[in-house]
Amino acid sequence: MESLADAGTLLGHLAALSLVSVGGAHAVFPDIFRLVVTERGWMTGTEFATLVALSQAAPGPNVLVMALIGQRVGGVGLGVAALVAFCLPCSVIAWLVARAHFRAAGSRWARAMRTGFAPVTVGVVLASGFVLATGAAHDWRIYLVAMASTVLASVTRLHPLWLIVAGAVVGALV
Amino acid sequence: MPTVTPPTSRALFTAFLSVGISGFGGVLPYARRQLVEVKRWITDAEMTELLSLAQLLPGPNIVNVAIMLGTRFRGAAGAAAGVLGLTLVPLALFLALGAIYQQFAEVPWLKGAFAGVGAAAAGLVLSVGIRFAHALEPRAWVIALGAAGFLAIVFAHLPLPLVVLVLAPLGVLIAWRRAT
Repeated sequence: MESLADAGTLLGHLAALSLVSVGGAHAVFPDIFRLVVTERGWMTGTEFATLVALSQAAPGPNVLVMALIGQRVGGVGLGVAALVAFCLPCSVIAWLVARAHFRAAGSRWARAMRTGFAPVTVGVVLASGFVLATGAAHDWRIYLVAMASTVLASVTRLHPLWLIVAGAVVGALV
Repeated sequence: MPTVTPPTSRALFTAFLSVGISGFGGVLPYARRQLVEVKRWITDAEMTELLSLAQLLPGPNIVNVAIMLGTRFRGAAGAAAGVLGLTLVPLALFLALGAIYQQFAEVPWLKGAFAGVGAAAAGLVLSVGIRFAHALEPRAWVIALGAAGFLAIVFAHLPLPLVVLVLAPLGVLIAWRRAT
């Protein structure tokens, strides 16, 4: 991260992704990963996965990971700017839709939107988890952590923090 | 909606502040508890409706819920109050955490711990996808669409906007034609 142009690239990318981030921050991780790790090399895949992990372990909405990514790339100021860049465009859409929604009730069109969008969202969220798992794991035991966490979080009501803590302990020991 | 006085922007701010600082590993359950049980501003049915819409829209679900609820009670000012309440305090915490992490990033066991945390978090994301998938109707076109989205991103490395802009309208079209 050297220049104002790089900051502009990151912020523009986040603002554009905001408009298509159906499913939330998780849905756009692969694309942010592509920019900051694969294309620009602003951080390693492990660092990226770690920032995501931090955002999940800490209290607050996971979207705050955008601030961590911005901060890692260009300091605290870019961290705040990155969060705003990602939140503002979709917030304006949500505001416009909310105004319209509270005036009109659900129609056939609204139902079709819901049913037709859902499978895409599911595929995108699963892809995010997959990309994150391969980014974090450098060792078969770390892969086991990802698999165990997937299974336990899917079939039990265990608090996510326990899985995060268990992951940290296993990671520190191997 | 329940016959309550619409909350002020200040009340929206403090309610979402409490949601934001307590949401370890996912904010949504706590938001429901606060809005439906503690404040009684909306019913469960209304919360479900907000969530459906939030999931449909771009942006983090909980941010969209804050925007829509704020808009409903206090317009744009209410929406801003909700989002700021949700994010301001955790943002300060996150930036501090990020700074600390960068100081200690090279300690080997800490690197391992963070890799473990990353893997566990990846598992949490996968479990969210799995739980979402369970809620879908198991029809061939639904499975095909979800698989196409997954494969396009993981194996074809296509950019997300392209994937969503192609697959989502396709899904809506299919659902539209099948709806009666």
